[in-house]
Amino acid sequence: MSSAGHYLSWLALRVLPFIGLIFLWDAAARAFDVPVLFPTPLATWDKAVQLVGEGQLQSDIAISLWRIGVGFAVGCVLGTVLGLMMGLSRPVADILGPFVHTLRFIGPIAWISAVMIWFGLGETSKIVLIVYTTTFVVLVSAMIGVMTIHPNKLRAARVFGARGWRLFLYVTFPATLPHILSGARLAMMNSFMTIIAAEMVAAREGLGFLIFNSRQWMEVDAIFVGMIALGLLGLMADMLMVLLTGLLFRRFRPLSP
Amino acid sequence: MSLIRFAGVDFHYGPAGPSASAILKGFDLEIARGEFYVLLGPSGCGKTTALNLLAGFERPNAGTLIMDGRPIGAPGMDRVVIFQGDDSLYPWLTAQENVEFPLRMTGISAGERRRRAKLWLSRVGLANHGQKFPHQLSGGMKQRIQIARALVCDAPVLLMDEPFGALDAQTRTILQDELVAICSGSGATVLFITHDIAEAIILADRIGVMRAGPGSAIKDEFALDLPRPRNRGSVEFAAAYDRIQRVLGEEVRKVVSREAAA
Ligand SMILES: Nc1ncnc2c1ncn2[C@@H]1O[C@H](COP(=O)(O)OP(=O)(O)O)[C@@H](O)[C@H]1O
Ligand SMILES: [Mg+2]
Repeated sequence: MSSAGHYLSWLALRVLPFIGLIFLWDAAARAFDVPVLFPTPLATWDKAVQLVGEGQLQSDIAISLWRIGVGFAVGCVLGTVLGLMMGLSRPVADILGPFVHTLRFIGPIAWISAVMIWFGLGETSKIVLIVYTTTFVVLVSAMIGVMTIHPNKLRAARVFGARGWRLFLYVTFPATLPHILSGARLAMMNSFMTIIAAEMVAAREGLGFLIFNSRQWMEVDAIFVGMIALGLLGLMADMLMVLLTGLLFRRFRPLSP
Repeated sequence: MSLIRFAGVDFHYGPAGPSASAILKGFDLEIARGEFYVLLGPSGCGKTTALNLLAGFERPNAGTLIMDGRPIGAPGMDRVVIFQGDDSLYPWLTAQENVEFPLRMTGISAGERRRRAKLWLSRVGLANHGQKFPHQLSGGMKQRIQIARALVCDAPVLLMDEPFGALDAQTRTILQDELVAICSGSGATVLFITHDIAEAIILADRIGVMRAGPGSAIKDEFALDLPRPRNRGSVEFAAAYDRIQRVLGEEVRKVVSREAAA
């Protein structure tokens, strides 16, 4: 009984606020009283069904996720490699440091114009921006991870004869991994923000394009569909990352939910 | 013939210069083969620094530091360290894997590794906890992992830096007695750091008391030839405690009054 009660209260805690929010939205939309400008939840649902029926929503989601996936993967590798190198080598940190610490304040959105001119409207420009935004977040996490390894972990390893590559493989990298993983989780969120901005300015498909383009026809319901899809996809991506890192890297005690 | 010899060792952290103040100055210390030597001193006087020099983590700025007739070089398995606190354990490895770590670095086969790690885990009372991760174990258990990880190396010299410092009094007493049992007859030479006089008397063949820094060195030495295991309530224990307290207390008072003035 207590476990069933537990489950019910857990369910209530997760579901009730959500239902409450939808009612609140509905009330606000009715009060606003211009359905075209502020559609109700039901109208938004109808629009979602219509967009799915036309195949539009799925294809926009697919293209956006593909861009994020490729850019995120490349950025994670690049950020990890560069961050580890900067954390491990003082000269590398001295050389790259000023660039990294300047560039990470020039956000991906500031780069959109230049990237469009260089790479055009094709896939490359969007993926480059995702790579860029992911790289710096992961890089800084990895670098801090290396630099904050407790010296006694490294000293112990040296006592036991670990040098060079073995020291890196058996101590430095595993000790840094939790930082890299939490950096990647943050970078995933940044990727979602970046892809929308990029697709709004420089794309003919994708969720960002859907949201931006619907403005021209005053299709606020389609804008809502795009935004909600974005939020749900982000939530799912985050949950997937927590799940995967929990399965693959459990012993490194990575992310908390 | 002593196994370990510090002679006129000077040491300061950071680059040399007129502003560099010496942590150790004219530091002399000799430890015989098989001896259990305990270094006592007020906190901040340079005990860990002396151990770091012997371990090879730092190099002396002047003087000689010799082990087994050769100058001390890079850190190695011939003088294994048990660190202060538990930061040196690897949280991504189980207790068993932590203890296997030195053997893995030496290239010993997996079966032999497992066998020796199991043996030492059971000797330190962790036979049933090998599959747990450090964060699942108490402070005392974590120090036992460190002890097992050091002893599995069969090193001729053990360097212990306040290994029981962070533990509660009961756990500390138990581990002290266990360490006496493990070390007596092992033939290992031990340098053991503490600021606890009672702990020093339970463990030591000889005790060195360091002066308050800067420019610290050993002020006085006490040989203890009481039979083991030693009784914390005995008259001899109390007498030794009193003699050492008088010397150490003076140095601690120096530190305290200097801190009050600052
Ligand atoms: N890495 C370091 N850099 C500069 N000063 C240090 C460093 N480590 C220790 N010291 C200083 O050296 C002195 C001796 O430190 P330590 O050997 O740790 O003392 P103890 O172990 O006796 O408490 C202290 O004053 C401490 O502040
Ligand atoms: Mg110390």
